[in-house]
Amino acid sequence: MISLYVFVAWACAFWAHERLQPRTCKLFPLAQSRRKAYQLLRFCWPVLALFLCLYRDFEKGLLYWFGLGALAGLAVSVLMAILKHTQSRLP
Amino acid sequence: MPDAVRKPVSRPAAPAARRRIEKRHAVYKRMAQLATAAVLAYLSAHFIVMHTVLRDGVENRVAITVAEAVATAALPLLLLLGYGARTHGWGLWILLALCGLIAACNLIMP
Amino acid sequence: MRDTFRVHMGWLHSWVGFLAGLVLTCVFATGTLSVFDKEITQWMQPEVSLDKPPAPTAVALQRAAETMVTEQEKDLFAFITLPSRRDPVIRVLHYDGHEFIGPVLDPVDGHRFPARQTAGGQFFFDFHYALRNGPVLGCTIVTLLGVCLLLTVGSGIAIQIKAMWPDLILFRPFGARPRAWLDAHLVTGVLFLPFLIMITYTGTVIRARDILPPHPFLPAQQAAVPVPAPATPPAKGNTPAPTSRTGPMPPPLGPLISRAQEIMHAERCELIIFSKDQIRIFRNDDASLFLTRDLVTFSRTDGHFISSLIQKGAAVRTVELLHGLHYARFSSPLLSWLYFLSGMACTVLMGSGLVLFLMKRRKTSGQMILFQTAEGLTIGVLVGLPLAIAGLLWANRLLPAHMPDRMHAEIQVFFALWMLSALHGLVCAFKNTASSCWRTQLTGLAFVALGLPVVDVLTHSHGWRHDATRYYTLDALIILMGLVALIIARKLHRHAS
Repeated sequence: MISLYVFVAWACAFWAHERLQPRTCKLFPLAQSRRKAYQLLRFCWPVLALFLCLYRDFEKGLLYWFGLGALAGLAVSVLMAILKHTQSRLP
Repeated sequence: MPDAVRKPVSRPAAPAARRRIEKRHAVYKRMAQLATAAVLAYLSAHFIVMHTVLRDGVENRVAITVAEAVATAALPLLLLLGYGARTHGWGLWILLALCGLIAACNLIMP
Repeated sequence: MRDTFRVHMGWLHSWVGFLAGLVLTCVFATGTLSVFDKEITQWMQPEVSLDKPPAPTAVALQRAAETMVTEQEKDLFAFITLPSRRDPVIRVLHYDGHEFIGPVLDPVDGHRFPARQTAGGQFFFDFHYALRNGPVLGCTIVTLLGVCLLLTVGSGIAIQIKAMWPDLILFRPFGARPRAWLDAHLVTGVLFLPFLIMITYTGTVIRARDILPPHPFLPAQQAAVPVPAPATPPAKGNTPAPTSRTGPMPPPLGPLISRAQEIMHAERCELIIFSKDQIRIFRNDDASLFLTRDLVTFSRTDGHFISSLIQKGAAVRTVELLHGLHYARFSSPLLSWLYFLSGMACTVLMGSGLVLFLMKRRKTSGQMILFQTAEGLTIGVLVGLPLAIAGLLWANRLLPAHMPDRMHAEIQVFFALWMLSALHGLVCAFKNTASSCWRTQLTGLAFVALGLPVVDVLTHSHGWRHDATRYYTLDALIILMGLVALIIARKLHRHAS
């Protein structure tokens, strides 16, 4: 269960990171207040994920953190690609 | 101008051929510099291990294994330094200096 | 020609990456499979029942000792591996020059399973670290390629460093073809960079001695008593002479194992190695990140305690960590799967790199023999290798279970398929029909991969209701591979028409 939380935390961080990029903002405009929140989340979620990983298994925590992070990043990148493709095809 | 009238074909062909030769020379130069960087990086890695052998003795297997791990990490980094920094003209010199420094350390070590 | 840092690094990245990448892709693919080498061996030996508790009984240990003595009488350096969570059976193994093979025993009553002869997952392990060329030549090549990979990764970082942060997860699969491939290369490269550096570096360090110049201390080391690594028991090349192998029947192993556990404060012991007058019991190495070599030595004649070797200290722990990180013998299934998926991603990274190299040069050098050779070899690597792997699994199911020299027949099927694929790729590339070759081979791969579960069902080699997770998992993965091959083949077909 903790692994799932770590995965979700990483996914949220990657999502926030991509939403903050200018190329994504063109397709999905972002309010200034939200921008600040996303910037905060982008930093906080991976730290939280690291704490969870170290709590789960102190010795192998870093391996879980990197592994789940990479997978979450891959999942979000594919999801974002599909969303952008769908959005760009809308009239 | 009269040359151009007499040999209309040779003028555009000449720079192309020269460019090709220049390009080939540039590639040869890169390969030579990469090879030099590889030799120097390899020597430096060897001297790192020898440093541990001289310091800790031949029987200290674990220390030598750790030194080999350090040398393995240093090998690609030094190679990148030697080859990459050549854009600025000092990559190989730095690598040569490093290699000489470690070799000198090994020589003066009692 | 512009002489900028990026141009230099780009040249280095492309050429070293492509030339080393042709072999490294195979090394990574087989290494990824080796994460589950025991599970693959179990899939390939369906006669072995795995529903037993992973604690051996005294009777089973006695049978194992008898089997070991019988094997040693045949001049084989046999040793015993005890049951574990991943492999709950007793194995009496010996090294045949490539793999560790041998009889499989029930941990309860010690009876010998009528398991088919197969290289199993060990085949991929051997290919991964030695390219089936032995511990001298093969390991040296793989270690040198590891250095090349570190160099390629370093130059890749130098090229991409500025765009790395903003393009962290940028992937445009619906864009133009080179763009999509480049994004796939970059996104896997950036996201799995820590894993890639860690696994390449630790893999290179394991056999670093092979590539560094010989030192004066080497004879002193070879003269010392070799302490073998837990999973590669007798250090290859250090196997004792045949005359010294056979010794007396060892005393009951159960009490010795308990004593060893007590001395080493270990949960379990994993490996028992027998010399002519000694028994060495090693602790298990799946409980932690550190791959330990702690062992307790007993007398083979009467079982009295001789010595123990429990290594401590920062340097030893560093070496154990470097080895443990690479061998990945963790008991945690999640971590094994993370290693497997990361390995797959790195294989995709290298595969996409090979494709990009060809795409970039097709217009200017498409008619050159060197380019055509490169394309043929790339087809052989990217399609031929998975085809050969699926072929090996087909052979495992279709060859008669008790065929003589069965293991070598399986391996021959693997290499014959791979060679055919590479030859077909080369011939087509020279005839300028490489694109149709990609489609044909991918369709063939899809057929072979999607057909494997059917063959698995039709051969009735095992049951599907009880203790069948290993079959479902491997078959599902193979189906996935087949579907991916089919999708790519259809995309290529649409693109061509």
